[in-house]
Amino acid sequence: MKKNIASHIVHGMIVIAIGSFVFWQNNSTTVPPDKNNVNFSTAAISKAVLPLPNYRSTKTFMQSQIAEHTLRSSCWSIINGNVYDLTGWIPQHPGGEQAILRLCGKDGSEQYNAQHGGARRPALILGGFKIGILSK
Amino acid sequence: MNRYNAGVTILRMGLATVFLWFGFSQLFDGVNWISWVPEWAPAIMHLPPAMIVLFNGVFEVLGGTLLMSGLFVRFVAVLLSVHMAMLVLSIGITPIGVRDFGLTAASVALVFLVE
Repeated sequence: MKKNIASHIVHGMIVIAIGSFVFWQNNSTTVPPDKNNVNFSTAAISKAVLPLPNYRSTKTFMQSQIAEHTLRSSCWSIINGNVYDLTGWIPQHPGGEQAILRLCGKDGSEQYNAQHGGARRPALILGGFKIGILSK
Repeated sequence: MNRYNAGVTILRMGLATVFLWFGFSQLFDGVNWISWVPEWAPAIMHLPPAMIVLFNGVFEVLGGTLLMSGLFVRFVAVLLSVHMAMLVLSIGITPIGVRDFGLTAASVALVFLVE
């Protein structure tokens, strides 16, 4: 019995150790974006913030609500009818912060489609920041 | 501990380490994993890719923890085998796909070896 408890404790400590190491590794890796070579390298996007699990991506927003979020500290944008909270992505965007800051509080579909239209990886990354859809 | 039990233990803990590592990575660094979500997954599950990554991370951490602890090993190994097989089919014949095929085979082996 004691041996079982001890082995479970050891296993639990190994699990915690692995988790701690992965957490430490992810938080100690920072690569500044290279403005001359725009790419979506994994290091460049390693610290962007993911939406919380309780985000309701079908929640509707009015355009006036998006217009209230124009700051670096709270940046929302409309892209192709969907609403995104891009705050966490601003420092991580490989093409520089200004490219995202320009979209805050407004419809960024034209800029996004011109730069990334049809590309799978930017679309998948963008999807991670979706918080709802634009009310019609 | 005889050689058979030692082999099963090493296999179990080695697989557990892999699933724990990648599970925690998906929980702490999810954006990195979004591009790996197959295109059919959001359509079928009606969830955004980010949430799929988070749920997958929780699944792999739980599976890895149970494997590490030696609890419900056969059941967990079956689930992880199916999970890895789907990943391999999605990734295809690439270096990562071949590596994951090896992990799938190891998970299936664990299903047969655990008493």
